[in-house]
Amino acid sequence: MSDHPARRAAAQAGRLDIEGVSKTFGDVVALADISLGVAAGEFVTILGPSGSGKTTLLKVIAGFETADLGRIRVDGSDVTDLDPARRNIGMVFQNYALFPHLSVARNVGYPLAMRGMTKGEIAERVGEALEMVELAGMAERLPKQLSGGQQQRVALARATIFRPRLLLLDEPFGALDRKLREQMQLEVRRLQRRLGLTTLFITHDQEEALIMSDRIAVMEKGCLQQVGPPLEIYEAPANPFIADFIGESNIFSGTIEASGGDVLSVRLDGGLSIQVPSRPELAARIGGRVRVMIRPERFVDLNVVGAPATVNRIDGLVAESAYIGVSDKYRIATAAGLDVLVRLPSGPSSRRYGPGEPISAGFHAADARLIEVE
Amino acid sequence: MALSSAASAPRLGAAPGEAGRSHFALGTLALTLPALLLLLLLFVLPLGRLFALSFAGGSLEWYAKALTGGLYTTILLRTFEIAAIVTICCLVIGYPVAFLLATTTPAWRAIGFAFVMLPLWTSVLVRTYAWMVLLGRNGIINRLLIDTGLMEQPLPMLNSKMAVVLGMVHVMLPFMILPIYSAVTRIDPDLPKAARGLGASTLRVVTTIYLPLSLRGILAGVTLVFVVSLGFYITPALLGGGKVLMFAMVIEQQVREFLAWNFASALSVILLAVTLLAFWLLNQGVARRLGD
Repeated sequence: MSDHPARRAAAQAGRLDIEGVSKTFGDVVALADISLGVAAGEFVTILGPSGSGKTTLLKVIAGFETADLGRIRVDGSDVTDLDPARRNIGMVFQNYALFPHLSVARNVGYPLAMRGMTKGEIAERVGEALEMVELAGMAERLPKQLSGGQQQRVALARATIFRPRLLLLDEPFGALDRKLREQMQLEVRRLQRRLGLTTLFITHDQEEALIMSDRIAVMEKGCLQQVGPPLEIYEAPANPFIADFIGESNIFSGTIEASGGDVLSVRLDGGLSIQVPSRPELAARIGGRVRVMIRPERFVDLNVVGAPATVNRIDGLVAESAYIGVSDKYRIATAAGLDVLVRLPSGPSSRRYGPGEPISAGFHAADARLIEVE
Repeated sequence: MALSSAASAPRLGAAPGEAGRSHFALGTLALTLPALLLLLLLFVLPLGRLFALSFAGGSLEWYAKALTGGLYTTILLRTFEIAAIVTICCLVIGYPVAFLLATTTPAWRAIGFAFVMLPLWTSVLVRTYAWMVLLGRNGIINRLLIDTGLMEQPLPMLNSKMAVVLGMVHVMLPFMILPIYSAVTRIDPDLPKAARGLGASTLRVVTTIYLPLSLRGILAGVTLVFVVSLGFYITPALLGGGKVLMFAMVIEQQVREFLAWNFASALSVILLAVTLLAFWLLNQGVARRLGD
């Protein structure tokens, strides 16, 4: 038993390559030609709405589903047709999938027992693992006697104790309340860094993805829409779907009016003209149709004394306003018929606007983003 | 009671007044009244009469006769032996069937269930006669063996313990399959997957995940099959041809042939007591296993 292949393969770097993976269920395309490389030790989040195929992708990597097409490689070796028991991949399930009839210690020691380790070795490693997730006193409890957060940690300890080459996390924080969730996000990241584990994390929560990831892969309808670091995904979404899915956004359609060096003048439908950052290839595209995105929190109130000078200005009437603590949220209707979502700083030092009041909001050209050019 | 909380398909003697225990109201009492009356009329009264008969004259004479001399205790032991063999056979055959039913695709599950349930809807008598046709001296199996030249003399299959066990297993199999099936379907499908991913072979997944988590169903099935088998009458009577005596057959004999009502009653009470004891012991086993 000691030459269990999974055991021999342990403690490797853990580079993951997904190469052209496709999977259909009947008529439904779950994965459409997915290719993604994950560097050893990297934390990559697969972010997408429910039904986007992200869980299927994880199952294909873990070996619980078979891809119709494409290969999965770990450290260069093809694992596509390998038995899940021999892949040496740790996974934390959405509902943790702790074995209800086994104590915490036996749950955590399970992968070691399956690798034929001796009782002494197992006890020692389980002790260390429980120490690491701060559950040292809970070894003899049953999973149902633990809180959600503790169960989460047991699942994490179980998925990492055998030093897998890869850690897969399938929406592991879905069942936790917000406070606990934030705490676990940090803990998982700390553990992952400490162990240097290549990690693929699945979530539909964009905030969680932004906080935790080295890189985010946005998935929709079985396709990878964009892969990049959180900043890039948020600031430079590749298409309107991502702009809309990640954070809040205003997306306006317009026509390129003039091009001057690194700024482009775009006339929005309805008449307003705004300045946006240009790209070299767009200089010759005067008259072309474009879509522009501006994040609501990038607006400034131009009526405030000492407001910065901005090139772009939107005037209108407040249609709706909401106080949400960190900011005030306004929906502004302009005379030209634009509907603009704006977030302004809230608090005693800021002015609040009621519905029907005139308001002027400005934004810098650099804060606008061309997301679609026809 | 541990077993009735298993909520598996057949309820093991769950009292009809159970609902009334938690929400005792006049309405619930009224609703359970017909069932209570029926039970009182058909079970409690005859049982009381049975007790009265067995202690006729205030003496323990009939019990002394049943428990000494060795004849009836031997038959009782044989009854236990057959019930145990039937239970083990049902478990060995039934678990894989239940497991497949619980884990296969819905289409195959429907087909499988039809095969499991169909015998249940057929009269025990019809099924027993079918076995007689199959196993008899000039039955289908013997004719096939002789016609193909595999055998020269017909095998004496009917009127043997094997025939009795075969027939009883056939009758009792669904009662083993159903509780195990219901226990296996309640296992979170992610658990075996998690076990696989953690390095368990298919065999280890069965022994470390499926078996312990379906223990409740196994024990429910075992109890049900064993306890019901203790009181079997028609199948051993017909397939055993009088050579394989089970306790219920002895009771019938006493009543029908010797009109020995008092003695038959005493035997009945003994069988009932022993059955209840077996039921209680098995239940204790369930409680202990599930307690740790």
